[in-house]
Amino acid sequence: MTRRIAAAILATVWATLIAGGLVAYFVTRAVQVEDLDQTIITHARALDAVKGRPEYRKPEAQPTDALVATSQGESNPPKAMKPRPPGILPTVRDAQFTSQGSGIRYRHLTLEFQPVAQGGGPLKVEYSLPSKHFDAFMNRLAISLSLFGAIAGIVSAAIALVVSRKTLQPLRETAEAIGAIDERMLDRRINADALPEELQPVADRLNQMLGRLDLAFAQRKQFLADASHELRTPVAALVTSIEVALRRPREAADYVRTLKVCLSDARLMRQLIQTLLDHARSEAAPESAEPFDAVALLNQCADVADGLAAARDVTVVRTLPSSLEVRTQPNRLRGIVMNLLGNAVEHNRTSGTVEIQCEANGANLEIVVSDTGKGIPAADLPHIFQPFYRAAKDEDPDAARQHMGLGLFLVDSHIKALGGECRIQSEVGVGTSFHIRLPNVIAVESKVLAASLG
Amino acid sequence: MRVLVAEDHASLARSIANGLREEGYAVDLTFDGAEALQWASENPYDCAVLDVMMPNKTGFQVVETLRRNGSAMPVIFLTARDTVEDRVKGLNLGADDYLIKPFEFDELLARVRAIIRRGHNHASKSIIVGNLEIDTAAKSVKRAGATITLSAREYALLEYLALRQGEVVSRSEIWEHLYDQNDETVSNVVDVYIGYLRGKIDRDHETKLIHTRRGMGYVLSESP
Repeated sequence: MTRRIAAAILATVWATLIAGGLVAYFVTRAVQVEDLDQTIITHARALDAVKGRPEYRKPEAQPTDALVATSQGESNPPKAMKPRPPGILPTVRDAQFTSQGSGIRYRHLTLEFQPVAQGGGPLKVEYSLPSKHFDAFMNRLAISLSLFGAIAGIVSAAIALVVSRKTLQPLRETAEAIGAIDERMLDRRINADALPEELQPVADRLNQMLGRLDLAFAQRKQFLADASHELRTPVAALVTSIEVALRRPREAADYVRTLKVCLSDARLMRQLIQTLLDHARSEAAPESAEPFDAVALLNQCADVADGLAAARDVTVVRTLPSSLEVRTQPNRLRGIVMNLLGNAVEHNRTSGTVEIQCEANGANLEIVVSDTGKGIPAADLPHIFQPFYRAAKDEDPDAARQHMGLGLFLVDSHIKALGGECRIQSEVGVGTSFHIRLPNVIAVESKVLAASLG
Repeated sequence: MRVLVAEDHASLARSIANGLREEGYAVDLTFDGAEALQWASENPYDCAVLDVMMPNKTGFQVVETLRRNGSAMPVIFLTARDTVEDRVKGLNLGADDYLIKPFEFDELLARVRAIIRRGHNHASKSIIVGNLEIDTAAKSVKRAGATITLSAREYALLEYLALRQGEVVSRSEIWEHLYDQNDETVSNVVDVYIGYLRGKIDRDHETKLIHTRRGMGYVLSESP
């Protein structure tokens, strides 16, 4: 960039210098040649062969004493009239520089005098004058101009370099500042005030981008920290249970008890790892939207929920249309519905019900999953989508530890990925319902179009 | 020695409690922070093992309240939070030790032992009373070079008396430090164990170490 700007400045300056130099040289040369030729003509007119021939001479002009009057009536003194040279002006037939054998250059003019009076044809005069002074002058001029041009060129090059460097210095510093930023220092910002005005929008945009990256990285980091934190406890439980069991010989029944405890902790870890992997995978390689029947998918989910619900004497009620064609990511939709149904069954009261509803609302798909469970306290509602969040109190510590607090976090991230939104209604002791709206997943126009065409 | 274990991951909490009980500690177990604080305020635990993230009250809050109320109960934090800030915060709040999950149970035991000794101003792992030597790490007892075999309860009683050697220790103090909430003890259980201990420690020796202070309790010391 520096070099390009410097080169552009230099090219302009140098082109101007060269063009200016050439113009100056040739204009001066033209003037000088004209001068030289006039001298030659004067010399030629002074030749006896011309001067002595009256037919080539005009009568002496009489100086006029006429006043030049202005509109104000003021008078200017008359201009002094130059005495005119005698004789008439010749026509220049040919003009060239010649070079004699001795190496001396001459200006050679072929002049033709037309007679002003009767008696004789045109008089042809050839006159040569050494062009020594003219050549010397032109050489000096050429050398001066070249020297001046060279110096000006070098100086302008230096200036261009310094100026472009200086102009781009903040940009270079900014580049260095940006280069120094890695994922550990995303809280750094570029100092936009130090930049030239033209570059400030760039810096502002970069700062905004850094802000977004910072937030995203912080969330990732927090998630990772939380996830590893959540893994530590079941690992500690597993290790401690086994260590304590191995401290002394025991009855077979004791070992069985220990193994069962270990198994439940191992399952917890498996569940967490599986969830984390699923999450990472769906973030890394987003599924593409495809057309499918949403109702068929919801029915599959409800079938799975039926199995869980039977064990708890909970009924799953389906309020679904016969079919509903949508275009979205089926695995995400399944993730959303399965997690919500699982929670709804899990946190339900005995003989409670879970209801799943779905309907098309314009181009939007609306799904409601509601339960008759213990409800979510208002204080917990703003936090339930946070990863690893658990409500403050769970009566049964064994049950509380069966969940990592990731289900609703995943539901939320799926809904966000599909551009949808989720609304929660909950009343403690009565139940909770999740209202999900996924926008633009039902192809309304194509249906209408197909209908009108059909 | 009586230990409070407060940890909301049930299987971890139970394993720690079982392991400590098998080592002769009386253990009270809770999964809840508020309960941990209440119990710690009511009972003179020789050591409290607290998880940091617990429902209702965090381990940090429990220790903060205990220290504000003037309790010097030795506390070990068990936590999955391993950042330096977390450790510094825990120790600044007045915790005596900090153990990162997952840990080795032996390490937890060693730290519990050390912290209980320090709580009774004993830096060394062995306690000496006259020619009686108690190794708190190996839980072995020797008198005049001869090894004495004690049951876990007997050992716990002897260690407690030894940690407070020279002081009169009341029956209720002994009871509070050797029995947890689940123990169904009869009123004279302390006297019964003192009797067992005398039989094993003092019977074959001229210099008696366990002395009865009528109406007050017992003293372990070389001088009568």
